[in-house]
Parts: sequence; structure tokens; C-alpha cells
Amino acid sequence: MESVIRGLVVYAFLLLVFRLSGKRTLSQSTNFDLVLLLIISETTQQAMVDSDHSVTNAFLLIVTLVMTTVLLSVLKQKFPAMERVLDGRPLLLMENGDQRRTSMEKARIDEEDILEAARKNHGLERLDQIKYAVLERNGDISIVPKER
Amino acid sequence: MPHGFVGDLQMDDALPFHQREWRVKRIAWGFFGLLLLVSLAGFLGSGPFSDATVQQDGLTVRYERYLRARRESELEITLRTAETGTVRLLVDQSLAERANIKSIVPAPKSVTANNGQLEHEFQSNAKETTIKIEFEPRKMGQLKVGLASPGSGKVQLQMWVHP
Repeated sequence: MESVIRGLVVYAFLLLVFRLSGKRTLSQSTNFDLVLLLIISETTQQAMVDSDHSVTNAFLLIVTLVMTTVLLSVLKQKFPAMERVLDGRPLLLMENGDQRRTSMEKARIDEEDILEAARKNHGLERLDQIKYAVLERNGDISIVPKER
Repeated sequence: MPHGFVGDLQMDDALPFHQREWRVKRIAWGFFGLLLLVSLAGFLGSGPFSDATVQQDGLTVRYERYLRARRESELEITLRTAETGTVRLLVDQSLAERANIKSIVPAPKSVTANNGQLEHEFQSNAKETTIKIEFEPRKMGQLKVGLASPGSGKVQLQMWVHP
């Protein structure tokens, strides 16, 4: 029983912390983000597994985590409001070539981040070639270029 | 599916939602910051507010007020006696019931269960004897432990075990 409760508590805590830390936090945009993510996963693993290294405990934890994810995905599908709260919503950063300064500032995104996404996905060279920039729910920045 | 449009883009411009979210995040960050300060102060484990010392007559105990489950902690007990020889220390059995006793240094000559207490007998050639009990609390909650030494004194420790 303790394994299941431990798994649920850790799941809920991680969900809360990652949701509240912002979409761009640990979005693996730098190498250090990846290192930090690995450290967090190691810390989490130790807290969840504790001193019980049995196969039964591992199975229970895996099933707990997977089933919680499945249950949440079902609930999110059934209740869109829940999906909005848990996953957030896309945030418009640039509209018709104009930057939404407050949104960018609050989401901790600068022009360089938008230009990076524009270069990576569309080979764009300048900000004035961008029509829309959207911060997606997973922390990626989507770019819609202006028609040439 | 989004029903709204922003220009040609099919997406809901949920600015009020995001503004609420930013407010909640600011509050949460404040809370996390506070949590770190509370932890640095020692309320969630070792630290200045956790370290405590109680003394009565010839019995002094140094301990941590705030512990964590499955993390080792230590009681440092100093006994001052008028004579050398056998020193006796009575520890409430609640400690052994709620925690794993990892070690007692120096090792007692004998341990006897006695009316809810464990009576430890040590051989000491000095008038001041320091005994260290390493223990690991098993579960969260309050942990009250009484310690006594005939002829030296009696103290009551109140500890809190975090999960």
C-alpha cells in the first residue's frame, strides 16, 4: 500500500511543481536543463523507491505512475477545464509580426528564443519574417512565417 | 478544439486565463521560496532552529527537534556522576518502538526492559560520560522520548518527524 501512496504523492508533487514553474523551465533548451532534469529524476527515484528495491515494488510503482497518467488523460478528455488547468493553454507571443511584450516577459521569453525557433523550424533570418509566434503547452515555440 | 481565431490563427486567445495563471505562479514561487527559508532555518531537518539542548542536574541531552523519517539522527547524552563505575541510563521504550536504533556508543554492558523503559548500564571510569545513540525514525509524527539517569536527572524530548 505504501508504494502506491508514495507513487501518487510524488506524481502529484512533480505535476504541481512543474506546472507552477512555467512551460519553459527545464524545456531542455540548454544542456544544463537536461542535466538538471536527470538530477531531479534521480532524486525522485530515491524518494519513491526508498529502501525497497524489490521487483514487486518496482512493478507497483510503474503501474501506479502509468495508471495515474492514463486516468488523468481520460479525465482531461472528459473535462476540458481540467485539461486547461493541468496542461495550460498556448500563449500568443507575436501577432501579425507585433510582439506581445507582457506575455513574453511573463513567460520569460525574449526575442532570441523566438529567433532560435524561427531559425530551427523555418530557416528564417529576421523577426519581421514572423507572422505568429506561439508558446505551446509543452514549452516549444511554434512559428508561423509571413507569406513571402 | 479551439473555437476562436486570432487573425488567421485558429487558437483561443486566452489572455485572462494566462493572467490568472501568472498570479498563481507568483504566489507559488513565493511559497517555494518560503519553504527553502524554513528549511534553511532548520524547521524541516537539521539547522539552527532544530538543534536543541536540554539539561537537568547532571543529565544533558543534545538532539534535533525536527527529524525526517528514515534519516539518521543522534542523541548525545552527557551524564555527570559523583562516582565512577556503573552508569545507568533509562530510555523510554517509545524510541525503540518508533525508530530503528542503529548504534549506541559506548556499547552498554546490559539492557533491561523495565516498565516501559529500557535500562542501559554502562561501565565508565570517568565522572562525565558521553553516550551517543544513533537512530532512524520510521514514521512521521510526534516523537516523545523520556531519558533519565538515577542520581543525574530526567528530561523529556519532544521531536517532530517529517515524512
